[in-house]
Formats: sequence, C-alpha cells, structure tokens
Amino acid sequence: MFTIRIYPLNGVFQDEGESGEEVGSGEEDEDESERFAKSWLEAEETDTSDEEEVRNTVGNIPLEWYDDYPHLGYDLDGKTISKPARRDELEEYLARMEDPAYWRTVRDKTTGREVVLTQQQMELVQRLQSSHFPEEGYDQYEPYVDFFSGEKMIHPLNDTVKPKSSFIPSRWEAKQVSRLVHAIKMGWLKPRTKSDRPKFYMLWGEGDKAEVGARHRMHIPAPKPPLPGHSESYNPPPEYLPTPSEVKQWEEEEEGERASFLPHKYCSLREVPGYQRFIQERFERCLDLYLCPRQRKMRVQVDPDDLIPKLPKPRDLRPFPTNETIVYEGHSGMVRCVDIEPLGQWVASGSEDGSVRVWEILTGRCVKTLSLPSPPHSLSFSPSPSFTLLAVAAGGVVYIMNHGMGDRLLVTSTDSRMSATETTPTAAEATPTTTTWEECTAAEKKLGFRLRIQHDMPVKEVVWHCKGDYLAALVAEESNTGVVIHQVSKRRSQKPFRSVKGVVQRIKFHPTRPLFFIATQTMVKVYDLAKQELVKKLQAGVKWISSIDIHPGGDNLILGGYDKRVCWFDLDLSSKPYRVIRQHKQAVRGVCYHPRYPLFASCSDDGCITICHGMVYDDLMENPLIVPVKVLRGHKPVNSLGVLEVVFHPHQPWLISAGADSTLRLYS
Amino acid sequence: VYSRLCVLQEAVIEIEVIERNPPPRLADVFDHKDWVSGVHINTHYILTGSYDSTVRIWTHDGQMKCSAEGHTSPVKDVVWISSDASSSDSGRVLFASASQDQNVHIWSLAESTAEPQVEHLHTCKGHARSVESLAVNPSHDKLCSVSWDKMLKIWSAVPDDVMVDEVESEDQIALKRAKINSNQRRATTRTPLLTLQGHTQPVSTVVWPTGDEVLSAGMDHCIRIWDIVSGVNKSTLNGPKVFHCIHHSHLNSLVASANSDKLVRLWDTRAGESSMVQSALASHQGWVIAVQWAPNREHQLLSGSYDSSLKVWDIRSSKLPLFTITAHEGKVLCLDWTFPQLLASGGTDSKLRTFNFV
Repeated sequence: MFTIRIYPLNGVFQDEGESGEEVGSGEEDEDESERFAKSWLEAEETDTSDEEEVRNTVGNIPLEWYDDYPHLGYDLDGKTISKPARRDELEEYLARMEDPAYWRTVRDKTTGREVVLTQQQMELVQRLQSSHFPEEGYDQYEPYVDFFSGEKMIHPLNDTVKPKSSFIPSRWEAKQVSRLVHAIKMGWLKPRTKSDRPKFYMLWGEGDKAEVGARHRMHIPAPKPPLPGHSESYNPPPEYLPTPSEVKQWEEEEEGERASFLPHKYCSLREVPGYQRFIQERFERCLDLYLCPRQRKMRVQVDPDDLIPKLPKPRDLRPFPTNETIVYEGHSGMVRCVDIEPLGQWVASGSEDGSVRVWEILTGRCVKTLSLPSPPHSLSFSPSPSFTLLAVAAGGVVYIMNHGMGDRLLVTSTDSRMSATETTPTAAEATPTTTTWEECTAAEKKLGFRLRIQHDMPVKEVVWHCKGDYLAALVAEESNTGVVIHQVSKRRSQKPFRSVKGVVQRIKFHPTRPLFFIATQTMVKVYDLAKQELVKKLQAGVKWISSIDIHPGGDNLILGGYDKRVCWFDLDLSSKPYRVIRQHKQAVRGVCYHPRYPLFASCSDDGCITICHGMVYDDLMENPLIVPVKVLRGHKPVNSLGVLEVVFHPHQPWLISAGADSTLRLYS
Repeated sequence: VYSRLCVLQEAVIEIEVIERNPPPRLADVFDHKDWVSGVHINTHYILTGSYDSTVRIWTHDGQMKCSAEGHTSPVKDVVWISSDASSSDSGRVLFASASQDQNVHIWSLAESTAEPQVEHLHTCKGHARSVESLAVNPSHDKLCSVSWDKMLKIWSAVPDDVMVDEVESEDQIALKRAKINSNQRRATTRTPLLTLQGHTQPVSTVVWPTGDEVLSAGMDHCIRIWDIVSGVNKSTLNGPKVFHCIHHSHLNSLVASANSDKLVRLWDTRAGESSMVQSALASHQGWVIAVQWAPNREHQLLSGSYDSSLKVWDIRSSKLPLFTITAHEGKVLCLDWTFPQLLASGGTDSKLRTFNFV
C-alpha cells in the first residue's frame, strides 16, 4: 500500500529555515501530514512566534509576473517585499570560494532571500534524486491491516439490547400506507402509465429513418472475392507447388496474362515475408467493384412444383389400355386402316398389300381375307344395327360389302334389302355424272361385295353417318379434293359442297346432330346438313391436320397434326384449341375417342400410341379434364412410318392399332 | 426344486403334410387341322372342337375315333352331356358343340357298335351371334349356352326319342323306329326352353354348378347368378375386367375366373355381392383364357393363358404355381381337367396336348 504524501516545499523550507538547526530529530518523527496541516492551521501562531519570517502573500502564481517590478510581492501586512540586492559576479565568486555552505545555499524565489539547506533537507533532496521515498525508513511492504473488511460479522459489536420499536411495525409507515390506499381508492393516485414513446427515438422526425431503411434495404453487398485455396497457403501441399519449368514459364509470361500469384512454400509462418502485391490487389479489387455496377435482381421465390397443375394420378383413372395383348399377324404390307364392328367381335383392316382382312378380336384369328385390285385407303363398318355392311375405299371405288359376320338373319335381311333397292328406278337420275353405282359381279358377290361406287378421283376416306344410310367419301387427287355423300338405300350420290377452299384432309359426321366436319389443312369447317350452311370455322392449332375425331357427346373434338401435336377443341368454348398436347416425337397419324370410356388415343410415326384421359362433364361450367395416362409401344417404325391408325373397342377399354410393320395390335 | 426352475413348456405345432405330386408329363399330342378351341374328356374319349368347324372324338391314347361335321363356322366349345355310356340307357353318349354359326348341335355317339358312329340329333337354333360356351346341368338333361348376343339359353338335352318313349303312344314309337331303321333320320331343330336376358355385353362363359343355379360371366365385367326355376338374375358380382372363363368347384364352392389380365381370381358366390375377389393368383404373362378346378383335389386348379403356358395352382399359395407347363407354341385356347389323371389343352398351334398328372 502506497501513501502519497505532498510536501508544501515552501512551507517546509520556511519551517526548516525558521527552526534552523535546532529543529532536529524531535520533529522528524512527527507525521508529515500533521505538520503540514498544523503549518496552515497554526499559521498565525508560527507567524507570531517567528518575527523574522517574511511571507509572500501573492499566492501560487508564476513569479515571473513580478520580473518588471522592484518588489516580489506583499507580506502579511500588505507591505511590498522588495527584491534583495543581488550579488555581483565578484561577490558571487568570493562567496563560492570562502563560504563553506555555499553549495547548499539556495534562493527562495518568493522572498528573494538566500537559504542554507540543513543537513536533513539535503538528505531529503538526495533521497528524492535517487528515486527513493522521501521519508527515511518508510516500509512500503508493511502488513496491511484491513479495518473495514468485507467479512460479515455474526456478533454485534456492542451488547445493547434492541429497542422494542425495532420489532413492532411502524405506526408512521402504517399511516403512510393507509394514506396511499385512500388515495388509490379515491382515484387520486393512478398507476404510472407506460409511455408509448420509445426509450430511444429519432429526434428529428421519421423521414430520415425511412430513408435510411430504404437505403439499407436496397443495399447490395459487394460480391465476395474468391476465398484463398490450398495454393495460396504459405505451406501448400507439394502438388500445388509449381515445377521449375512452370516457374520459368510464369516468369516469361506477360504481367497481365499470367496468374497473379505463384505458390511458394515456407517452412514456418515466421519465415513468410510481407506480401508484395497486397496494395495492388486491394486496388484491383476496388477497381473491380467500382467498374462493375451492381444491380438488384428481383428473383421470384416460386417452388416449381407449384406451377404444375394438379392432375389426378393415372392409376386413379383406370381403366385404360396398358399392355399389348394380341398381335394380329398376316398382312404383308403396312396396315393403313382399321375399324371394329359395332358389337366388338370383329375387326377389319386394310393393308397396302391390297387385301382386307377380318379378324376375331379375342383370339387374333383371321377369319376372312379379301383381295382388292388396289390397296384400300379406308374402311368403315356401318354403325346401323340392322345392316351388316362394310364400306371399303380402294382406288377410285367405294365397295359396299356385306361382311357376313354377326347375326345370320341380319346378314340375309341386309342382302334382301340391298337387292330390293336395286330395282329402284330413280337411282340413275339422282346420281351425278361423276359417280356411278354398279352392281358387283357374281364372283365378287360370292366374296361379299355388293355394290361398287365408281368415282372420278381416288377415294381417300369413307365414313358412315350414325344412322347407317348415308356414306361420305372424300375424293382427292393431288390438291383437288371433293366430298361426295352417298345414300345407300336409294343408291344416289350428291356433292353438297360445291367447292371447299383448301385441301380437304379428313371428313367426319357428327355423332348425333346433322353436322358435317371437313378438316382442311389448317382449318375445320362445320356444316349444318339440314340448313345447308357453314356453321363454324375452327382454327386448328396445328400446321397440317392429319386426323380428326369427334367426341361421342358431340361437343368436343380432337385433331391430330403432322407437326406432332394433338389439339382438343371444345366446340362451345371457342374456335381455338382448348388444349394442345405435345406428347409425340413424330407426326401424329390418327386420333380417336372411346365411345364409352373417357379416353382418347393418338398414334404417331414414332411407333407410340398415347392414351389420354379426357373427361367431359355434363356441367357446362366445367372444362374437360385431360390427363395423359399411358404411352403404348410395340409397333416398330418402318420407312419412318409408325402407327397409322388407332381405334377403340366399342365397349371395352381396349385399343387396336394398325402399324406400318404390317401388324395390328390389341392393347388391353 | 429342479423342476420348478426349469418350467417345461410344450407347444404343439401342427404340420400339414402335402403330398408332392410329380410334374405333369406330356402324354400325347393330337394333331388337328386348325386351332383347337374346345376340349372335354370323359372316361373313354376326348372330345375336341376345332376352328375347322369339326368336332372330333379321340381315345385317351391319341387315336381319332370319329369326327362330326355339321357346323359351318368354327366350333367354340364342346361338352359331353352324359358323362358315360353306361349311365345312358341306350348305349350311346350324347355331346353338344357350340359354334360361331350361332347354333348348338347335339350329337350322339353310339359306342355299342364296333365302329363308333356319330349322329347329329338336334340343332338348337335361337342365338343371334356366335355361341361361346356350353354348360350341362348336374342331372345331364339340360344344356345352357351363352352367346355374343348377350343371352343365355337353356335347351333340353334329352334326345327326342327318349322323351317319346316316355310320353307317346305305341304307334308313334313304331313310326320312329321305322325312321331309324330306314336311316333317313334328320336332325331336328330345337327351340330354347328358357332365355335369360340381363347381361349388358356379350356373354363368354357359363357354368351350371347346381340344379337350379347357373353362373354366367362375360364382357360386362360381372358374374351373374341365375335362378333357372324362376329365370331371374339372383345376384351379380362385379369384377374389374372382362371374364373369359369361370369355373365352379363342387369341392370348395369357390368360383375361379380367367379375366382379360394376368390374374386368376377366386370368388365366393355364397358371400353375396359385397364380397369380391377372395384372392388372385398372379404368375401368367398374358391374358388368362381358361381355368378349371381339379375334379378330385380341393385346392388345385389349372389355368391356361395366351402366354402359351398352363399352370397348376394350389390356391393356398397365390404367388407361385405348383407347376408351369409350356404347352403350346401359340396361345392356349381351351383346357380340360375333368378326368382326374389327365390334363388336356388345345391352342392356336392346332394341337391338343394331354398330360398325365398323378
């Protein structure tokens, strides 16, 4: 524990000076601070005791202020203390030579007198000069007596008994409390409401804060420099160190082209020198940041899965065809057309080898083979339940044949009704000159052919009206196309569409209403046959229509295009496609609806058949639900032709496809 | 003390021992001119129907006894009406065939003579589309046929002359006898006793398990149970797929069905409409086209598929068949396991194969 003691040097010297030699060992024991206090308190006393005492009363001021005056200050009586006469050089010299106490004589600046330091004072000065404590014998390591320790005493310091008042509740406090309670009851005293003002707030209003907030929000942090890798280590693994040839190459390269840093190995961190390029790199970094303006990119945080529409899972949409079950083999050319008998027992197919075959669907048995002079382009079973007719278009001829399948009675009644119309005399009049109706020869009749309708152009497609009496044929020769409608019962033909603009691709009857659909290359025209007028034009979403089918409900249709697309149209909704399905990799060749199940299929040149669930709701407000459910493979593309036509079974979720690999396949 | 410490617990484990059968061995191959679409075996003969519109009768060891020609379209199913010659009084066996020419023919095979003779007794006319399947009632006097025209028709399977014996007078019998003797007898046409309508799609298969109950199934995905007495569709079991064949087991009263998928399904018709498939046997690779229960084993059945294999199943293990026989080069179309030791199957390779199965 150190005690710092302050000595009022003037006072001390004066004391010393006053007491002179006689002040000796007796006074030394006295505590210095006591003496100091005494010297002030008993100033009067000491003054009176010592007359020689001259005291300067100017206070603790720089004495230089009196340099220009003849006096040094004022004594207690207010009289000036005149500067004593200074000794000249000679006197000074004599004094130094003669006076033995000269070396310890100093001048008191306040009084200008010369004072001879005593032995005691000399020792003090010497102790101070040698950086010792001024007090001799002061023990700085004396044990410290801790009077006011932090230890809590368990026994009282004194033995007095506590008064009773210290045990009973204070009456004054009770009075204060009752006063406060009364004030609360009277409503004078209310609990302090918490002020809504924040403890710290912007003194100068809110504007600054908003601005700062905006600036903080718009803050774009600088792009982070790449972190140092292993090669920047002071002690990189040997594989990062350059070989001497690399070092040489590095040295030969230009400053800007070479890598800025060459890895170097130091055995310890102590040996790593200061980095030479530090400032340059900082500067380059600053240049980068300055020259490359930063821009905030607004990135929308969207889960990509949310953008996919919620569709039911295919396994919930069963049944639909999933597996290839039966392969119908027998044709020697690619199978161009296929149709299923209305009851679903037989399927007829026409092939490039010039034959029409009829197959039993369930077993894959070919029950009938008919050869035609030219390959059939299209064939169609009569949808009428009372006729067993099949129309086959081959070359410029449409053959109406009695296929002889199904009910024997129906077969014979069909034959008898056909021969009955034969005698109708009006037949020749109604027929336009371009088409001629002929009875087939006896040899052909034996095979089942009944009538041949000769056209002037090759027939591309033949479709039945739902009642089974009318038959529409699409004739086409290069870009010259036409539609002829035949009436089988009266054996007459008519051309209701004088000139259809564009090249007609496909034709179709509406399943229930007297509407007729003509698909040209890029447009579908809907004609009302009863009123004989154009009802609607549909802008196909495809570049070149290849196929068309109409939903059995009659309000929707699908188009297949050679540009790989399948379009679904809602006829009530719009003349633009409701949905475009891009599932195929090659040109779509055929599309078809299932007559009962909410399914439709499209086939393509890539050998795939796509099955889609296409639910049409009775509620007019609800749009059709279209979900692709299955891709069926099996047909092998031949000469870049894949599956040419597909048709659904009339009452089962089965599909029969005709492929260019001269097979038909049943998928179930 | 010792016995208290070691408490001996005895548990009885019941071990069921199933005799392991040797796999079926190929017995004979019967060459046909066309696809074999129907087969039925009795104690002496094998009856087959073929797509060349002919019904053939073979002995068990592969010799063709005789053939019956009369159909004009492929025969779809054949069935023995009376199982054995001894059971019928006149020493002849009756059988029936169904064809795509919409007729059911009832034939008789006279065994008594050295050279068996087939006689065309009746033509059952009435169906409007091809007749797909036939079933005979347990008392062998009625025949049920199902067709693509969505109907079931019940025919009398008793030959006219037998009925005549019972009912008609002596003079007429004499007249008939004279006819028989003069060998100018012609097949007479029969009309159905009963027509059952109710299927919404073509019917493909029928079984007649008890005297007054007929089960039929078809392309409308359901098994219908008919009461023959009242002619009512008693109940309907809805299935998920087209039924190609069903067969009823008189040992465990379950119905096995072959559907237009790869499964053989088992049904309990007694449980009513609520309980559906009991279990499904899955191992085939193509459509299962025919299925038949073992005549003498409660748990075994035989199934044939378009993947050209026959499988013998124990219904207690639905994952694996007991035996798989690659029977044909093409599709299997028909099979039979009426005779306990003999399995038979016909297919699109125009062959009937029989297998010995002990």
